[in-house]
Amino acid sequence: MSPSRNLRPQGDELDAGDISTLGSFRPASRVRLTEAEARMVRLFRDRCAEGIRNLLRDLRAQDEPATVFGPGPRSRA
Amino acid sequence: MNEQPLYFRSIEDLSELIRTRALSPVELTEAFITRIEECNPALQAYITVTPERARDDARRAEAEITRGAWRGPLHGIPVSLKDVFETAGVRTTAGSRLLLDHVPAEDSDVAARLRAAGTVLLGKTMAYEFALGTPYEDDFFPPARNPWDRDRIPGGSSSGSAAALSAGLCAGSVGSDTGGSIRHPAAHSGVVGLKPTYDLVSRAGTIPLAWSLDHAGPMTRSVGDAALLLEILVADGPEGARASYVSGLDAPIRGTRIGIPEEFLAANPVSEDVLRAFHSALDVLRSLGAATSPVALPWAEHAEAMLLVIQRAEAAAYHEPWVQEEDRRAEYGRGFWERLLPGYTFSATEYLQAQRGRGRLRRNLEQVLDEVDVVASPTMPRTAPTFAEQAALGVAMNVPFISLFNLTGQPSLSIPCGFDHQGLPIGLLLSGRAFDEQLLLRVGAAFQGATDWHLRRPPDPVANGGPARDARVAGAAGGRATWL
Repeated sequence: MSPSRNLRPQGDELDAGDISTLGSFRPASRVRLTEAEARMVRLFRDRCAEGIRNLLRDLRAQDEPATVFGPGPRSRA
Repeated sequence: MNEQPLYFRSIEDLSELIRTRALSPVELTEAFITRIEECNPALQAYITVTPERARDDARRAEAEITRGAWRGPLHGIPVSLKDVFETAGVRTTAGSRLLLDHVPAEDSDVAARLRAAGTVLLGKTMAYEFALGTPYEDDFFPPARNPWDRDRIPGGSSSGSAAALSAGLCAGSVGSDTGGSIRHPAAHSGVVGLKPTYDLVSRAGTIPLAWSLDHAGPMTRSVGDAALLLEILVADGPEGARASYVSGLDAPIRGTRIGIPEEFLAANPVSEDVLRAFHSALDVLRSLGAATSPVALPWAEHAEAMLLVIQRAEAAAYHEPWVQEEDRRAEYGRGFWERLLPGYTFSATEYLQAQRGRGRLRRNLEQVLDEVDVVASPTMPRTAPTFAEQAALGVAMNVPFISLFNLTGQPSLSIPCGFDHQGLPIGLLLSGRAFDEQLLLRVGAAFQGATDWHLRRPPDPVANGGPARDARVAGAAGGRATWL
């Protein structure tokens, strides 16, 4: 297996037909996707991935300390 | 409002009548069962109706009260539960064909608390499949319909609870909220919905959508009733103590500082009707002595991406065992399946960056809430769409204000604040500091003391025609609730 096999494919590389082309998820049995499902997943994922890229840009720009982590209201920085 | 039928009276009123033995819980329960028989075929608010369980609960409550063993304000009060809270001996479907025959052996913590308080369980209310998203035309269970206009969605995913409250099919309910699923239907259906602070109400025994975003909370017709329900839902603190959400509810709100996120509002298109109602609501709050000022909500623009990545990745993890089984995954509805699939495509680093950003957002909002006591906005940018309009939106999210507080875990309350030109309800969202539900409830109660939006009732579904008018919302299950 080439090292790149484990990298998440870019949006335009997603294929209809098999969910395993969409990411790292490996179902025990084959999950077939229709073209419409693959298109919808691709659009949704690309939109979210762009949002996370923008978020990461702001985390870096504002020097968010990498020591800070925790989702709950009782977690303190 | 004593001229109202029993099924529209507040829990506060009904409780006093029951406590003083002016009203029998059995009589009250029969009134609700009759109302459900009459209205549920047109509204599909309930997936499962439990009349025999309700009659048993009511008879037990009556016997206890008769011998002087009154358990408290919820004793003998008929309630419903969103069908994601497990109930011992009563099927819990989460709105999915996958769990059609799932009959839990034990109560969820929420169901156990309602039982211990002596409530009467009328049944389980409709949830969109696994509490995710909006109705889809091939959903197995027919979606609940909005009592104000049955061609429109009631909001969701706690859709059945909101429709049932709005039309008088229960006195109170408990919903779940992962991206707005208590407050969205509360706003669209003209009722009250409170998403409490994260984990203030136990999620044990609740079928999850996304563990770190899921909240359970009360849905009612008045803020006072929400306080009563919250009081019994909240776990005791480490010393056995807990806050009272009822006492001090009628204290004045003079001097309360209310922040208005004007820039965030401007960045998210809001309909003219909703904006007008929102500004009128602010006028009311100012007339009660509250002070309003603009606030910024730094990083709110990142909330949608954070929420979607976290929500879908956590849902994908929960559902993986079923997705692995070919015959089980075939039982998912197409709408849920399409919304679940993206969760399998996010990387671990994307999920974790979203969680990091979430921590930053929470701290930003904590700083905002050092400057003001409450942040106010419309609950939803628009009033309830028709089923056809919702279908055209597909999987798009349009919940900019409510989902912020799922990410931060801070409490958030939606209350009715007006109607649009079509007579559809509009919600006002009040959000505050973690574990300060008392203040939100006090502001909400003050608002309801000065307005009557929460006392308006939708057209009677019995007098207003029969079942579904839109054939696309009939559902594969055939459009009838199960009566146990």
